[in-house]
Amino acid sequence: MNNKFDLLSTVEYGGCSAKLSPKELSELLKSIPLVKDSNIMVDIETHDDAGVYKLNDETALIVTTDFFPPVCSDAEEFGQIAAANALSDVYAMGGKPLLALNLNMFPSKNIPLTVLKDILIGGQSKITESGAFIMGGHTIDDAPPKYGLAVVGTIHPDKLIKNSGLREGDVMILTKPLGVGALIAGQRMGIANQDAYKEALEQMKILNKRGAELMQKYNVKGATDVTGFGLVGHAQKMAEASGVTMEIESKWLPVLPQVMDLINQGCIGGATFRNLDYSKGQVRFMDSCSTDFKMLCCDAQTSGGLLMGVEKQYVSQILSELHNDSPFTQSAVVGEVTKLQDVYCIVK
Amino acid sequence: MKIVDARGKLCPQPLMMTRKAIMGSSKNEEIEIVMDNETACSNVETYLTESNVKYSASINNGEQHISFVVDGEEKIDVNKEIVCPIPEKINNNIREGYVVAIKSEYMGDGDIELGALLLRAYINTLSETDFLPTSIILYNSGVKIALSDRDTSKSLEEMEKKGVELILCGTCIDFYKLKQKVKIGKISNMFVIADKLSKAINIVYP
Repeated sequence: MNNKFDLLSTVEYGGCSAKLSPKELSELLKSIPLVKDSNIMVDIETHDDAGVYKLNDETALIVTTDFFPPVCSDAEEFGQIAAANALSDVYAMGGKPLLALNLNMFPSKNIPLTVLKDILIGGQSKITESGAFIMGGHTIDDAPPKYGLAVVGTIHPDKLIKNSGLREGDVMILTKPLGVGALIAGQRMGIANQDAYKEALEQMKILNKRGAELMQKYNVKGATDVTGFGLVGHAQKMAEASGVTMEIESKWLPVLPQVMDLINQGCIGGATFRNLDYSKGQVRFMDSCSTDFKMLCCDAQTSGGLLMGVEKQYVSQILSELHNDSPFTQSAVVGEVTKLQDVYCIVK
Repeated sequence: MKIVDARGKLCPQPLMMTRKAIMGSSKNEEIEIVMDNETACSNVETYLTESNVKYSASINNGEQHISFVVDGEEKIDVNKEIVCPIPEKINNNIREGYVVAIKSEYMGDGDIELGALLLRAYINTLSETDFLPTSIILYNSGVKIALSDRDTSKSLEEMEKKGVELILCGTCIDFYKLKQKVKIGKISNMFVIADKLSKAINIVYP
């Protein structure tokens, strides 16, 4: 008998609530004093992916954490996705993961403990794939379950890739297709195409390791990973930190199968609307970007791809290396960086 | 008037019901959506605003009522196959590395009428040949053979169904202002085109 536990059954069906809006979060953080230190290379001021502390001239530490409730039914897959997602912030800064700690919230009375074990097995496999080590963790009894990790990575201080590193004339490349949010919503509604949904799960499990290596190889200075704030949310934060404007071509965006159809039917997650609200005044959507594509631009990603600013002369090289490295076949140019205009991001 | 009862429904169901109601209604029909979830209601309102629908909202006994008239001015995409439809079974007649690049709506130099006729014949015959290309790339006036009102578009569509990737130059589509008239292929950019051409082993320029 197949009595596999369905993790999705533990989370509220429908995505209206849960996450804190980026707008409220920025407001709230403003009132908390930030203590400075000359060795802190990156703190939350530039809305970067992780904090960076310079130990000496050779090494800086990258620290980051991320956790969330189940995004899929299978425990091991959930563990893999959560770990790939937590590691991604280190990769987005061009670094190499070194150590990780598991963070578990798990209702031990309602769910068999083997489920927790499977989540941890999934997490371990991705941490091992990254070359990092799990040093322990912390578990508390809480429902619904949540899993993620705190990750420490290293990087040479001169090689750090930041949100604020975009240069005028950079071409923006996105390494994974968008639409994970719509497909997860569609899965909960029972209308997702199973091949498309599986492809979304596979995308989420892929480490951004290769992208990080290529960024170092081709002198990328500004990048981020696209996650909960959606493509435009992250684009806007990067452009603001870099003092530039990012122009995005909506028709160039790589998209997972069935996503535009789901969005077209109104299967749009609650986070999309929060992100759309956050973009007000900072992002201009031109008439050429249809309502559906606007929603795609705001679709919240989990363990999304890297969004990197590449110098023109390296674009085709990076793209062909990404395309030849099979998991990133959908990597595409999505726009370019211009000097600062009246808004941080323009979507055409 | 059509009443959509979305009470007790969680996101994104009220939105989907709204969307369905709009699509299934006739012009000038009035629609009222009833909801009991503030977030769902706010999302529906945002969606309507983005879709250029003017609505009125009221709250009654803790229930939100949104009503509007379908006036045909809605900015809602009806086209369903926009990007990346799930690829159908790849035809094993496709030859890896074989790319056809169409750089003009005419085949060969000389008389324009003859050139157009030849290219039509070429495209319509191409779908019948033993081996299909992995990609067909259309640029400059070549994009015009994908226009919905040309018979070549049917042959191209057929080949797409067999697994041939049809790539249209986005700059060219914009330049000739054809965006509304093309329903097949993938509108792409020069990086993609340059990439495909660089990886091709055999490029045919008819």
